[in-house]
Amino acid sequence: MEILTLLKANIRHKKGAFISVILLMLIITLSFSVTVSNNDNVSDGIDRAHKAADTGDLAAFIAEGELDDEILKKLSENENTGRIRDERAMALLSYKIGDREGKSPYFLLKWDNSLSVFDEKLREFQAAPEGLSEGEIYVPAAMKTVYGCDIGSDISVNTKNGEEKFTVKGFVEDPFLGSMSIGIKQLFISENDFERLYSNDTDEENAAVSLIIPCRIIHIFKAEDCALSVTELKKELNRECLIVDKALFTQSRESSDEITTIFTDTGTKMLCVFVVLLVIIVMIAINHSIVTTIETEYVSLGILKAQGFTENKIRLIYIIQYFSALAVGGVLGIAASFPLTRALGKLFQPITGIMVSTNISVGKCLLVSLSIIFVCTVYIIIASRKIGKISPVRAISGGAEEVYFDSPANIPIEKKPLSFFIALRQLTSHPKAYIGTALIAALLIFFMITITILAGGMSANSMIEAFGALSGQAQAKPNNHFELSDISRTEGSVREIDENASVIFSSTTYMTIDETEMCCMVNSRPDIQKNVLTGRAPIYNNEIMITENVSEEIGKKVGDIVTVSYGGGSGEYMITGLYQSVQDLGRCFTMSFDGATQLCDITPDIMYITLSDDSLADSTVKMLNESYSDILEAEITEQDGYSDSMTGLIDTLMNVLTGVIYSVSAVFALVAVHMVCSKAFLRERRDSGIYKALGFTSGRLRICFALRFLIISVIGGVLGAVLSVLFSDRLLSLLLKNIGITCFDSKVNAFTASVPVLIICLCFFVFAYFSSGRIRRVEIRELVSE
Amino acid sequence: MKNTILSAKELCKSFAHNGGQIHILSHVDMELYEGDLTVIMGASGSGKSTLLYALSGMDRATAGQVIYGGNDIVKMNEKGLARLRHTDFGFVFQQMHLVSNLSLFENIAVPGYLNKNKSAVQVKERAEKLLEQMGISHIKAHLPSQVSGGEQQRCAIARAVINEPKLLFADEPTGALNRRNTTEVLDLLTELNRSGQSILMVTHDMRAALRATRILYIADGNIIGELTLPPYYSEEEKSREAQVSAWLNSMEW
Repeated sequence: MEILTLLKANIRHKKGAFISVILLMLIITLSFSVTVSNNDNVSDGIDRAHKAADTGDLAAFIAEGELDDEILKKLSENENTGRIRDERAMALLSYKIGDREGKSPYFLLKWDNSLSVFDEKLREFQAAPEGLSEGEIYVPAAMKTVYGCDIGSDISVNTKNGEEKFTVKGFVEDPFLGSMSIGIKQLFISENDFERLYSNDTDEENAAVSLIIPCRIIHIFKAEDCALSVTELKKELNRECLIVDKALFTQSRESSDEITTIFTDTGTKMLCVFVVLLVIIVMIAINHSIVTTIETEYVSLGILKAQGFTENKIRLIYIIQYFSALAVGGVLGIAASFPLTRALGKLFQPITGIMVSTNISVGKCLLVSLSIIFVCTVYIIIASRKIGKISPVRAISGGAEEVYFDSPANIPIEKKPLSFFIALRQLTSHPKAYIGTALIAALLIFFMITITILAGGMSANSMIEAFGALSGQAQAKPNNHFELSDISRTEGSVREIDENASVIFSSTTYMTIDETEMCCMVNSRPDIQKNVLTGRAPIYNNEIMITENVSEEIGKKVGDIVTVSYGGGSGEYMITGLYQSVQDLGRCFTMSFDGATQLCDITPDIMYITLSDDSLADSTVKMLNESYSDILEAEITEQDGYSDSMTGLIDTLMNVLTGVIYSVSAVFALVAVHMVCSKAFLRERRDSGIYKALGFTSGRLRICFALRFLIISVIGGVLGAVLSVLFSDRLLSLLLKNIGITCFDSKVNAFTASVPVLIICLCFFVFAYFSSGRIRRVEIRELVSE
Repeated sequence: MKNTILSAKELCKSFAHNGGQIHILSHVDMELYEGDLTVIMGASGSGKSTLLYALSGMDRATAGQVIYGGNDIVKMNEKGLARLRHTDFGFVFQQMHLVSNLSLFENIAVPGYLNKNKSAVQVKERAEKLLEQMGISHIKAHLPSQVSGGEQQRCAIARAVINEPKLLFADEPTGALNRRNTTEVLDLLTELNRSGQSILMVTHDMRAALRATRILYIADGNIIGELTLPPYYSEEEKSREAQVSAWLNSMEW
């Protein structure tokens, strides 16, 4: 009963600290609950859609000409496969979406009503999707974002018999290749159109000149008792029937899911790290609150002890008090996450192309909340141990131990600027009280700088620039008549216009490296490859360079020999270096054309021209189109096939993530400053009265208060910036490893660091100024009451 | 004829209590004269400290006027009062109330720094001089917690006069001191008064009252008696004590 009475009194008199802890816990639980629930919802949505679409664990896209009954038989009979499902498709080599020429491989499939169809605004599924008439096409929902496709938009396909036009009738949910982050897409047309094109416009015999390749998509389902991973299964099946070598490409459901959830996954990981930092901040705030309470209420606590309250009883009051605040904050956080989860789901839907439910992962969130509460409670038990040192005798005879403020850090007070010097003295004379606050500022600033770096690095263009993709002001697409000997010819012609131009021919294809299928960037100048992490770029034709992710997956390092197979050929190559690339989420390697032609004939599929002067781009393109029209088609580089809406969406996402982190940091700064300020105010109430008696105005004292917190935040800012220089890249590399970025090199600059530092410093200054408003109510007369 | 430095007219101060009002000061009329060491005496709860705080502008009167330099300080805003505190008024508290994280020197100099009419060098020179005068220059770098109560109070007096105030208010300045320190502090105040400093002091200590040139007696929130005395000399203390004692008895002290 006595505990309950004191608990009630404590909460009533310290409702500021109580509410602050509730608010901090609310923000933590809310952040966690929303991101984790959204992640779970996306995963559940993908699973549901895969079931509806009957997606195999592995799918091989293979040209009809490469497929025979023997392969199908071997696949079906392999002990590791449960069943296989195959369907006919047509690979498009030349097509246009609106006016924009398609660059990624697209496949035409027959519409069979297995996929769900979205309504016009992509909010709901159509209850009973209509079938397709001739000339109509269903496209994945993400194409609305990627290409700005809308119902009624045109998609034209070049066939050997001329152009075929289709009108977009609606958007489907394709969990396998429908995501915005996957370049390859499946489009669906009516049965009549499909059969007509398949029989009239494909040309198996003369595939070299065909614009549509007839092919099959073979979905392979693992046997229930199969213990192999998909990668192992792939190797096993390739050994058995060369399915991977013969396929145009293969895609596992696992890797498709990884790519589809790349943004939600990265965002979730980022926010989880942020939540961990926030929990640390809460513990710092709670510790400060308890320690200062013990200091300022020494007499009351001593009297309680004198009246028979044991140390454990008093500590129990603190534990229950903070436990209640944490529990209330946790429950409120989960409750508040309902509307936000719905909003976040809507934000990610255009990216994943998956209809996402808005459920809250209550069990998981409760478990995490309880874990946080448990950790904090243990911490409170430790932080409140000082109660044991309170002496009732000393308390009754006047208070706490004598406090000496002598400090070597004390700088003499000067007339100008007086407020600054007073603020500095208040800080240096009691530095321990502000260590926690400076740490809070440092952690917030560290994370704000990290998220700013991430947002800058994740924008579509900067990501391509920074992480290994090729680009240039102009580019050209070689046609089927282009031969490797044309490389030096065309390069020489470009150099006549700009002698400093860099010309790179490249071809992206899938090869197996030590029996594992990987994307290979065959390149005319692998020696100038960016982002080499260790070793060197390949120079000779028996050398390759791999990413760290590939190195980990195949267990090979620089200097090792690997076997590369492609197009029926096979050869041994030495790994000369490790690099990083976002191509195929880092599952890629690079070699020269000379190296690749040892395996089979290969020609470049794109030419990148980087000029020393932008103004030369037009004349270069003109020259190439005039002189080499028989072997290539040149153009000024646009946005790499992405629409403004996609770039905008990625930017929006990053802005939302940055905004959330910045806002939460600001709220945390507010609550932390308020908690520390309130305690400092209590401790210094007498001093405030004295200063007023000496002629200080409330405004001037509040400025002193605010300046003190500004100095703390500047110290925290410097610490946060140092932490960023040391750890931001490492943290981001860890978080972004799954998209191929294994060595994030942000080169934190003064500007990147200064914005978060300025924001937090400003927040600390302003919040401290407002929190110290109670100084106005300090009456000089209070000095007499003593 | 002495010049009036501060006057109160119809000064009232009351507090709300249990739904009613408690009147601490009731229509006080009084004047303070330049060069006087005026002492306010009275029984506990008579309102003497309340009067001191109302006159000094440290607390706001409920009604009435306090005229200083032609202005009513009851009507002054916070900024005006703050300016008054660091230019014209000085204040000494019973509990010293030094800022605990400032050295003695800094405690004295800080209010001087607020004064825009004095340079930092002038303030420092004056602070050094006062430290010398108060006999605490050897401990000027010490923090308040490191010196005795008497030394703290001497520092508080030096702080109160750093800006050469026209009027020095002292609320029971010897209340927290032992006998030896009390004498030292009273000697300092007397010396200051002799040098022309006007002082208004509240006390219930007879030894402090003996230093006054004028004693006002307050009872039930009103000034009910006044005694004027010649300047204090220690040799005449016995006869002065008898005179003051007799007068206080007549006031039913």
